Amino acid sequence: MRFEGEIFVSELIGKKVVDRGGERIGVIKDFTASRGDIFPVIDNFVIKKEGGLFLLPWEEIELFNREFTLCKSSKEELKLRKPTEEEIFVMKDIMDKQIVDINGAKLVRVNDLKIREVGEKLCIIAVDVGFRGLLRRMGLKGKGGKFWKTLVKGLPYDLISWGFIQPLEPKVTKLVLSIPKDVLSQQHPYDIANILAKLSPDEQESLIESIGLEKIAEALPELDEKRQVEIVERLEKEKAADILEAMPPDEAADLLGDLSDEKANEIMKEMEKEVVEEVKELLQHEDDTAGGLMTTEFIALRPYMTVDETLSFLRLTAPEIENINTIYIVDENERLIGFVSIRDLFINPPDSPLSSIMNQKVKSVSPESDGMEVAKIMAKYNLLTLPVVDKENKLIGIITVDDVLEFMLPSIKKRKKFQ
Amino acid sequence: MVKKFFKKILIFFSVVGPAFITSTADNDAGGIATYAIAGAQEGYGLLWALFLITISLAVIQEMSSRMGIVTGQGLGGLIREKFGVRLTLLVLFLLLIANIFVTISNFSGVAAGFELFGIPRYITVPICAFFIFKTVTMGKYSKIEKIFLFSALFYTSYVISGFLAKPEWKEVWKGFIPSFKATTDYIVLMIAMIGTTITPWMQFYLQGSIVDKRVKISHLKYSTTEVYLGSFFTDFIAFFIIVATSATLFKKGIMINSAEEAALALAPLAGKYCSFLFALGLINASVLASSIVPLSTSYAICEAFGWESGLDKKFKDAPLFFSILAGVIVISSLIVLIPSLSLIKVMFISQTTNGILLPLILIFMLILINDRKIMGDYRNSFFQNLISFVTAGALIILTFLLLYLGFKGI
Repeated sequence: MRFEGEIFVSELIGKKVVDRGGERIGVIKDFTASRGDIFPVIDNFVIKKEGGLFLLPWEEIELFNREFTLCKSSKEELKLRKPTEEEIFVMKDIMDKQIVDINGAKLVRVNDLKIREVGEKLCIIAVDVGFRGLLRRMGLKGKGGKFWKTLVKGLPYDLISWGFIQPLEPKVTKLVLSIPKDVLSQQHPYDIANILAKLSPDEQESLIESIGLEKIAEALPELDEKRQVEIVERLEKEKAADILEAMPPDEAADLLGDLSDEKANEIMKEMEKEVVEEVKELLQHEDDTAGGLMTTEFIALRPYMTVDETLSFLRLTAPEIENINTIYIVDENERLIGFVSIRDLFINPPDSPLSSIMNQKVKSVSPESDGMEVAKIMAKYNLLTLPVVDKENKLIGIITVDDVLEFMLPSIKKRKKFQ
Repeated sequence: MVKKFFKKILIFFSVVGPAFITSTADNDAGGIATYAIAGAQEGYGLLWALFLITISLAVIQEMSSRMGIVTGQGLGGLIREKFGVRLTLLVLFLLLIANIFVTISNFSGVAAGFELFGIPRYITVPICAFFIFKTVTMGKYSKIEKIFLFSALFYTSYVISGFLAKPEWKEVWKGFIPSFKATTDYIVLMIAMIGTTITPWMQFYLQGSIVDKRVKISHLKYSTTEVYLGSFFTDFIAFFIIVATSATLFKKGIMINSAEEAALALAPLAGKYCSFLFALGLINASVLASSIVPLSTSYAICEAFGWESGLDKKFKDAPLFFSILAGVIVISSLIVLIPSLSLIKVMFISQTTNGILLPLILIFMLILINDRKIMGDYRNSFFQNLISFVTAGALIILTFLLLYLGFKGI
C-alpha cells in the first residue's frame, strides 16, 4: 500500500515530490490516466521540475500523502520521460469539464476527483460535483473561523461513483467501460433526449457514439422537431441513415419531412431500400391526415393461423414492432377483414384459428381522413390503434393512440421532456 | 437569383435575436443617461467617439457570437474549462456584483421614468420587479425572445424625439469630425460612453443566447451580419439621444445630471411629446435591461458551476438558477427603494466593478478565441487579431483611466 484510504486529486496538486534520500525533485502538476478493469487507473504523476513537465510512473512511487510523495529510487537513477499529446490528463482533460450524471440524467461539472488504491493500482473512483469540491479546489476548506467550519460541515456530499458518469470529451470517453453505457441506455428516452438537447455538437457526437445509434433512435422523437433537425443535420449521412432506419417509420418520415430536401435525399440514398419505400409512402401524406399520422409497422396475419402459431410469430417479430396490441386479419389480397386483440389470444384455446375468434366489425379510415376525424373515431370506440385502408380496403398502415394524442395536444411533446 | 436572395433573407431572420436584443438592452438606463448628458454638455462634439465605439462594439460582439456558435458553450463554461475554478469564481463573483449594480441603475430608471408621469416608485418598482420575474419565468426562452425583440421597437421613440428637437443637421454632421478637448469632464464623459456601451454582462448574454439559439456553423456569416447591424442599431439610437439633448439643452446651456432631468428639460424646449417619448423610452429600456441582466447573470453562474439551468425547468429541478435570478431582481429593486440612496454612488460602484471586470474578460476572450483546441479553424485571423487587440488594448487603457479619475474624484 502506498496510500491508505481515499484522497482527492486537488489535495495533491502543488505538493512536493522527493527522492529516496529526501531530496526535492519537483511538484505535482497533474496525473495521466488510462482505462482500467473497473475504474480508470492513474499511471503517472505529472511533475514539474527544471526542464518542464515529466511523467513519474506509479511503479516508481514508494508512498504518498497530503504532504509529499516519496520515490523509490534516487534522483540520479530516475529516468523520466516527457508526456505526449495522446496522454489523457486528469486536470487538463477531466477536471472542470461537463459530464453526464447517469442516474440523475443531468449535466454536471467535475469539481474534484476522488482516488484510492485498488489492488496494486491507483484508481479514480468518484467524481465530486458539489460545493465541497468547489471549496476544496479553492483551498477554502478546513480554514477560517468556527462559523465557516460549521457551515462547511453542513454541506452535503455530492459524489458520483465513476461507474455512473458518462464523460463527453472524446478523449476521456476512452476511460469508461461499457457498464455505464448500459446504465445510461436504461434511462428513459426522454432523459437521454433531454441531455442530448443541451450538449454542444461535439459532445452530442461523442454521446451518440457511446450509447449507440438505437438508443438515440428511440430518444430523438422525444425532442421537438427543431432540435431533431439540428442534430440530424450535423451527423454524417451514413450515421443519420442508420439512426433513421432504427426509428419507427412514421417518426422517421416526420423527421425526413422536416429536413431540407437536399439533406433528406442524401440520407435516403444511404438507407435500405425497403425502409426508404415505406418512408416515402408516408412522406406523401399531409401531416394532419390519417396518412400523415399512421405508421407502416403493424402485424397483419391470415385468418387460418391458429392462436398458438400467432403467439410464436409474435415472439419472433414483436421486438421489432412498435405496437402489437391489435393483430389485423387480412385476406389473400391484403384486404382488411377483421382484428384480434392480444387479450383474445390469451383467453382462447391455442388451436383455434384466428377466423373463429376475430372481430369482424373493424373500424378503419382512408389516408385522406382528417386528423380530428381520426381522433373522434378512436375516442368514440375506445381504440388504441386504428387501421388505415386504401380504396380497395387494403390495409396500408395503423394509427396509434400516442400519435393522435400528440397531434391533438402538440404542446405535450414539448412539455414532457422536462418532467 | 431572386429566390436565392429570399432564401438568404429567410435564413437571416432565423438567426436574428441574440445580437439584436443584446444591442438594444445595451442602451439601458445608464446608457441613456450618459448619452443625454454627453449631448447636453458637449453638444455634437462626441459623435466622432460614438462612431469609433460602434466599431469596437461590433468587433467585440462578433468574437462572442463566433465563440458561441463554434463551441456551443457560454463564456462562463469556457472560462471554467480553460482557466480553472479560482479565476472562474473571481470573474463570476465580480460579474454578480457588477450586474446587481447594473440592475439597480435600471430599476432606478424604471422608478424615475414613471415618476415623470407622477406615479411614485413605491408602487412602480415592486410591480415591475414582479412583472419582470413572471414574464421571464413563464416558459420557453424563444417566447421571451419575441417579447424582447418587440420591446426593441419602442427605442424608435428616441429617433422621433431626436427629430422633434429640430436639430440643424449641418451642425450634426460636423460632430463626426474628430476633435478633442483636454478637460477632465470631456475625457470622463467619453470613457463613460465606452463603459456604458461595452459591458461585461453583454459578452455573457450574447454568447449564451447564441448557444441557446443553436445557430449552425454554416450560418456564422448571418450571425455576424446580425451583430454588425445590432451594433449599428445601438449607436443609431444613441446618436438620436445625443442629437435630442444637444439641439435643445446644449444650445440653451442647460446642464443635466440624469435621464429624467433631460426628459423634464426637453418639455419646454421641444414640446411635451418630445419629453413624453424620451421618458417612455427610458422606462422601456430600463425594463428590458432589468429583465436581461439578471437572467444572463444566473445563466452564466449556473453554467460555470454545472448547476441545472433553464427557464423551461421547474423550480425544484433548477433551484439555484431561479434563486439567483430572483435574488438579483429582488435585491436590486429593494435597494432602489431605500429613500436616502445616492444614485451617483450606485453608478460609481457599477462603473468601477464593470471597469475591473472588462479588461479581465477581454483578455480571457482573446486567449480563448485564439485557442486551436477550442476554436479550431475559426480562430482569429491575423487581421482580426490586429483589430481586436487594438480595440481591447484601447478599452483596457481607457477603463483604467476612468477608474483612476473616478477614485481621484471621490
